[in-house]
Amino acid sequence: MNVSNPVSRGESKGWFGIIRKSVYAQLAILFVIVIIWPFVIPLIGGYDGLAIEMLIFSIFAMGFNVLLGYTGILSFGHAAFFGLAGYAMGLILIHMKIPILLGMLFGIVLSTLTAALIGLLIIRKTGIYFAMLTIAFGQMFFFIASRWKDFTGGEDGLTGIPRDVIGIPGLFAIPIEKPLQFYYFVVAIFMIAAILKYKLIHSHFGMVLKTIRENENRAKMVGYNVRQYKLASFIIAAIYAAVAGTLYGLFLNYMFPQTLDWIRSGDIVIMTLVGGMGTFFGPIIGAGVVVALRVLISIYAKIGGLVFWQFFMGIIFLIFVLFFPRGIWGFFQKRE
Amino acid sequence: MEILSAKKVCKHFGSLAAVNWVDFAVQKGELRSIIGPNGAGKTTFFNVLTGMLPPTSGEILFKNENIAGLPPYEVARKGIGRSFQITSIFPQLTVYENLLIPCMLYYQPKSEAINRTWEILEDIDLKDKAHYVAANLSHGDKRHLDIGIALTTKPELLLLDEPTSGMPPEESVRTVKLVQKLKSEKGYTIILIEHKMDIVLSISDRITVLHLGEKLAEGTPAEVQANEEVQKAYLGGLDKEYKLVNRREGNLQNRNGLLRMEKVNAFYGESHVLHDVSLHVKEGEIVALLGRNGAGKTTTLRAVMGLTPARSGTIQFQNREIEALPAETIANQGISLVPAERRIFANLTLAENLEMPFFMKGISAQERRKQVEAFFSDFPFLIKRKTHKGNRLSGGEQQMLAVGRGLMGHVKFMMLDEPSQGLAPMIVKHLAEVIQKINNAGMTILLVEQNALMALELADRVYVMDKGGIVYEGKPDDLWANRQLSQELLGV
Amino acid sequence: MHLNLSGTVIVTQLLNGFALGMLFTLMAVGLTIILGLMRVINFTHGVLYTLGAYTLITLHKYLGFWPILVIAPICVGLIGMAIEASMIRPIYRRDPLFTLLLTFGMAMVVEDVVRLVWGDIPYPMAAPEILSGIVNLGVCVFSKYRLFVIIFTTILLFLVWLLLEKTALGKTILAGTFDREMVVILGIKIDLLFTLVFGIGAALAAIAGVLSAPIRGVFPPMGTDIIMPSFVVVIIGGMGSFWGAVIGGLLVGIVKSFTVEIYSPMADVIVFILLAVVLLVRPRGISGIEGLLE
Repeated sequence: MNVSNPVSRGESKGWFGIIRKSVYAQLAILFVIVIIWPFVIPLIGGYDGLAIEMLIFSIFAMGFNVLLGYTGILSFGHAAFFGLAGYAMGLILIHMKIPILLGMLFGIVLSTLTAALIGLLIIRKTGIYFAMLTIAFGQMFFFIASRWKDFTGGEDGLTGIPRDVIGIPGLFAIPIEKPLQFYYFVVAIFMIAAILKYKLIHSHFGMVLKTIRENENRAKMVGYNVRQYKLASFIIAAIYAAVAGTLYGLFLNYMFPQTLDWIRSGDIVIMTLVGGMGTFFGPIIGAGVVVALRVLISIYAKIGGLVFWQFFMGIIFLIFVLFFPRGIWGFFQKRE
Repeated sequence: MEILSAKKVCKHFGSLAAVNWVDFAVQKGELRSIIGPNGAGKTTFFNVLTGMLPPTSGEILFKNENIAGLPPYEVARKGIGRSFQITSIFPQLTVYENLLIPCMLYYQPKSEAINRTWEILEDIDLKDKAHYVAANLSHGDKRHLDIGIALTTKPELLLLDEPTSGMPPEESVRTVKLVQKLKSEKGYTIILIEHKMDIVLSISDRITVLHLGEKLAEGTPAEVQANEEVQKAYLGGLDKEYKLVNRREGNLQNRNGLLRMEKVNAFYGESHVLHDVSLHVKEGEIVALLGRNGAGKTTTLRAVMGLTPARSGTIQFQNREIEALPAETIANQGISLVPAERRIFANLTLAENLEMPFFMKGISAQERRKQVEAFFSDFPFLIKRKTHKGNRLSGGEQQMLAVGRGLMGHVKFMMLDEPSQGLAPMIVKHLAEVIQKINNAGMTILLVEQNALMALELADRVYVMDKGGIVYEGKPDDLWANRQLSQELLGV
Repeated sequence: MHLNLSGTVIVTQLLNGFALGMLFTLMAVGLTIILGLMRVINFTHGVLYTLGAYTLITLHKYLGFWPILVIAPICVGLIGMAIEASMIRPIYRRDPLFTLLLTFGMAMVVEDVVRLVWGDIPYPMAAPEILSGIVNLGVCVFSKYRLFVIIFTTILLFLVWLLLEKTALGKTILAGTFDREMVVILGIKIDLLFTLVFGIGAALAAIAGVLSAPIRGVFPPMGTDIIMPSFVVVIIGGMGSFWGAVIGGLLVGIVKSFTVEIYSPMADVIVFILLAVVLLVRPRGISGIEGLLE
């Protein structure tokens, strides 16, 4: 897709100017906000669980943005890697007594390998064809999760995922059972994820991704093996999805098939678009906004006992697609 | 030293030989231009050289290494850089990033790449616009950036595809200077595709002429200019004794104007392709629109048809302004276009193709039958091909079908775009007779041709275009008689 | 897992697969023509199918089953045309992925509108009286209704084929999938053509919805259930190809039916495995993009 964001170059002076120009300052502010968030959020009607969900999806969206916003490739199936990691971790933690970190690693690795396999199969295709294929494969995993009752619990989902401590046996053990404790664990992961993404975007690799988005053919003609870069981008997005998926499983102590379906994949597209594709902060904001909206709509948009969040989400999505394709963050960026 | 040596290169698309047994060698440091009339295969040849298309057969030796069939990104890494006729840059990145990112692949560490980026910026004269977003550059600056990107790949050989395309004369001069500087000061070997003959003749060391996929001639500019075969390829024959058709008797001075274009300007994106084009066609006339490829002839027809709308100027048909109307509406005014590639619907039969224009036009079944029968009486040899699908028809048959299709309905004015292209001489003769017959029956015709011979025999008046503007208007006999002028305007 | 398949079972499943496959084909034909002509991925096809089924539920008690087979496609066809003219037409010139996002958003909205109007609970729908029960085919017994579905959709698809190959409208559509601009040059209003084609696709989807109601029941997310396999059929059959949609639909339907018999948990997944296999062996699909509606 070719909606991207211009370079932001504000001309303001003073503190505000420094903050606008220095991404380090922006990152620092982000981290401060994230750290104090559980205490801020009750003021606007939220609670710990909401804060956790926002951060988890921020991680998912951050990685997805590498694929959609920076490389310009639309995938409607990345929720599969989210759910797959959660299920894999959940299953191994339930059936074997291993440290949670190891379980997470297992889930992430499994999900990433799957992404690599699927990516290899479909990366040659482009545009609409590619998007359709991602939908198809995403759905395949949904069906595996919801039909394989004996293994995954089927429609009822996988219950009883333990969440007690993070640690290395014999060395240390940090409790994460309480929501607030878990929140700060997620914060730690979030910060690592954010810093890694930042480094990635500003590395040579990240720059090549942008050229692929802007003009794939020319990128090829100047000597880049474009297919490899696209595949790498696909897998990176899957890794972030997988990390988020394991955190989600731990958060709910439970995994269910709907985490894998195309609607969930659609959610992540919405988050990235609404927040601002191709920007660093966009997806984080997008995830926060969409998660909050979902809860708000669930509370207020009830008619006859039925919740209509899909309706409102759809309308909001349409409004952004038609009128604000650069998203919230993109809207506020000055155009050069 | 021969830096590039292509031997017996062929590129076939099915049965079409776009490039046929071409031998081509370029010396290091040379500036070689490739020219040739439309359909010569120049762009296909370029695409094969740069790896965008694999050759059907033949070798391509670059610095004595065979690069035929390598994927484009590997060809680039070997040292061949290419710029594009339709500007191909990274629009939302800055000019600086456009160059730095490719450089980083070839220059390590990053500081080296940065140095090289500034060097290139200096060469292409975009140093002070380095932080502009590329999409915001002027058209000429974008073309320079396109060339600049080609320079990032540490090339020894540069392939430049119409670098001055869409530029007004002043900007073209800048670009030509850049190309010359790249050759003389920087030592690049350059292969150039260009349609602007003055540029080609003035800066090339040698010129290769392609025609119908084969190499027709090669030599210094003077040698190529003096080559009769080359002139014939462009002009479609020099033998005035060979008459295709008999010239019309009588005078059309008192006819009404049917089509009038006034100072029409048109763009492809920002590429300025038509400059203040003014022409008119009177009822019953056959007007020829000639010029070399890239002159803007097809664009002029598209502008009339509303496919490439005029950005300024007026177009009147039967005293009605049509320049702002959608294409379907313009067609329904009675204007028909037979496009250059014929564009027969390959998935429909000949009969179905022929009758397509009747769809939803409210034409009676009787009238339809009459028109279809008239077509088949003109082309009896097509009757047995009625049920054959479009893709099974030969080139000549497709052209006849396209002309026939263009006649169906209530058509008063027919525009034909290079109908003789790719046709054997006997078929061209038949085609000319058909055009004359249609005209005698009352159809007004605007005929675009690169094959000047046929057009000049048929036409009442002729316009010649060059670089997007009209450069000559007059009588066919006058143009033909002035051999020097016709070569200058139409040949080499 | 049962692998002992008697002749009876084989024939039964073939027929079941045929019936299911025909429903997929009805959806896929519309999707593939819209894709070939307009280069639009129509996510709303699923909700148009759903609307067809819900039209049946709503009007069933007043009109019975048969008239609705005509009314539903007309109504939903009109709705489809309205959607195309108002929301999709302005977006054509943009990136085709934008239309995908747009139709995706619209599908979300309309699905919830269905829930709003008709509620969340699934509606069971019985087959019409004449068609209830089974018929004896000698080698096996088979549901009368499903037999009817097979016959009806075969006739319907034959009519669609006639439309495409033998009428001026159909030929214009075929021409448009091949070269849109040339159709415009010939003075044909391509915009109206697009709207009409969208409407036809919507009508076919609605009929599929009506027909499937007695087999699969009626519930708001039913569109999603069918649109995925339909997309797979389009890819397997080759984008833009009528016969591809037919063959692909039958293939998917039969494979699915047999999987239900042999090992039912895999039934939904097998469709995607089939997709993966086809992609590896014949990436362009059965009829490929070059074989546009051959």
